[in-house]
Amino acid sequence: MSPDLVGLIGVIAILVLFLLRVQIGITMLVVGFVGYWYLVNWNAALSVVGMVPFASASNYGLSVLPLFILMGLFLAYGGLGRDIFQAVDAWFRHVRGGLAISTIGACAAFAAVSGSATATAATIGSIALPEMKRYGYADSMATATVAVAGTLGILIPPSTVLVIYGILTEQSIGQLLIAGIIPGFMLAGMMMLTIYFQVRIKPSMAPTQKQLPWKAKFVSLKKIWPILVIFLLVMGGMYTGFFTPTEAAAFGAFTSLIFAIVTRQFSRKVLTSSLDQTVRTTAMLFLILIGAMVFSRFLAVTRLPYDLTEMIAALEISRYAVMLIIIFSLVVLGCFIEGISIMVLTLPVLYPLILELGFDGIWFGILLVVLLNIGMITPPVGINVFVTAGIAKDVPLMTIFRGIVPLLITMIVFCIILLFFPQIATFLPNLMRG
Amino acid sequence: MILERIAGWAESVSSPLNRWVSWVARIVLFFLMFLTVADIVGRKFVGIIPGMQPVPGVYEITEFIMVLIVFTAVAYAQTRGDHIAIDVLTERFPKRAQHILYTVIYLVSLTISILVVWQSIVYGQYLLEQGDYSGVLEIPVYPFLFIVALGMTLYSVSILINLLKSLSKSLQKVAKE
Repeated sequence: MSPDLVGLIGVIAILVLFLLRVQIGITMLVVGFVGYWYLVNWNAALSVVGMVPFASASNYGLSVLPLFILMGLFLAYGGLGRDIFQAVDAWFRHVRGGLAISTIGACAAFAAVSGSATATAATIGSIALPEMKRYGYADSMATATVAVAGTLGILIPPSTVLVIYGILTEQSIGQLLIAGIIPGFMLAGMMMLTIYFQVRIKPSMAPTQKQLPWKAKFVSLKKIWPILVIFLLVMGGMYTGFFTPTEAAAFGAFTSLIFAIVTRQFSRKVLTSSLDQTVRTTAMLFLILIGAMVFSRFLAVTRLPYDLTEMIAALEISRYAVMLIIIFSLVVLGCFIEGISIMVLTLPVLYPLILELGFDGIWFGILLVVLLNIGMITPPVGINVFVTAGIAKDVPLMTIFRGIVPLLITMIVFCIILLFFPQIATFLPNLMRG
Repeated sequence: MILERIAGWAESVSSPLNRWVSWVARIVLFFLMFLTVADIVGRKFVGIIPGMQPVPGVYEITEFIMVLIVFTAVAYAQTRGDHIAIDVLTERFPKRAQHILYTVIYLVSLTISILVVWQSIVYGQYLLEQGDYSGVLEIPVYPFLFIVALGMTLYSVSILINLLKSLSKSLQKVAKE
């Protein structure tokens, strides 16, 4: 068998094992190990599984992950979600679809301190959903807004997915995180407009509330200014090179902790739950990463990524046509497989191809995140829809998926815009490079 | 079923143990946050405020702490069901087929995780003989390979418990029919 064919069999084997409920990390470990054994030899394969777990865990660049997760959880368990929602709501409630628009705004704001889509949907959803229900919003619109806007959690920095992307592609993690800022807030704005026009067409979906007096609007901001300060310090520090990403994350976690203590929202439970959740999530992510590293070593031996890249480059078709095929395949995969798994599985093959075609590595990271986010809100495996359904227990899944359609179209339109205007993603990181 | 009883007993030991071990992860994570902040403060104010200096060897300490976090929490994450697996397809299978399938799958998972344990020890022993130390603080590297082995051993035990449960269920069904 040619090494290319072995590589292809390896990829297929992974997909099969995924679907048979083997843990993602273990799947890639097994296939990577067996493949390495077959192509090189038994001893070499053994030494890979001996060295890679330690090497992956002791990677300084990845230490940013637990610290960013911790920062988001300190704030979430400290009750920041409620304050954010109330503040955004004070400004938007009198607009058409105001509560839903506020939900999107609150998700975007929370995303600025959290690197997880499910945590964002759960935190903001548990506050926004009862409110929207109380004011008679259509279930489909209320739940869809939470599920979709929650995905902003991994687009707007910090972002676990972009950190992992940075490690796998050896791109600068700082630049990747900064690159997410403009696309994240732009997409949030487009989602808000979508809701606004939906309600314009069908006002019965979302009754409008009375405007709050200006004084109340400003008072509501008092509780959330720290989030702005933390975001600006963390991102600003990273942007100017004052902080490495790990330092920025540690600093962010530390200031979040201080903030929780000063505002008296701190308790031992906040501390222990945050630490508990963080180490569990970290271990989960690293088991996947370890598998991914073993698997990518195997793929490198097969030469499949290089040969595939050469083959496609030789076809001389438009690079945009290739990109459209990639986008389409990722969206289809995203319907069935969880996002980070798709990323670690496809990147070793896709990334050399992307570069060969002349696309920007950072730009592709942002596009990939939006595509994976589409996977998080589409059936059958839309994790963010499940999270939302877990909060709004009386709403059937089908109702949520129906409500998602307009916002899903918005996300697809955004992808197309991003495809033709890569500057949206590359502008800030290019400034950083100087 | 004897298998089920063994699995239940083992679980009543392994679950609290995994949780207990994961306290190491929580404590060193909290410490890592302060350590990094202390390093930032020390580095930015060195020469400005007397006595301020960066933490020596902060990079390597961070790397060792990450090994501790990941491998003292990996079995706990397994206990809490955090590791991602997809069951959209398998949940449609008949119950008995599911249990048989899971038995096989746990066996495969167990094999690879035992390989990781074994090879981590082998690699750790090699580093011990080589006398491999970290660059700045000269901390020996080999004990952290044994941490990897320890964490993966606890993880393997959790997988083994799941294996016994699935095996017991697939056998039970056979006995009934």
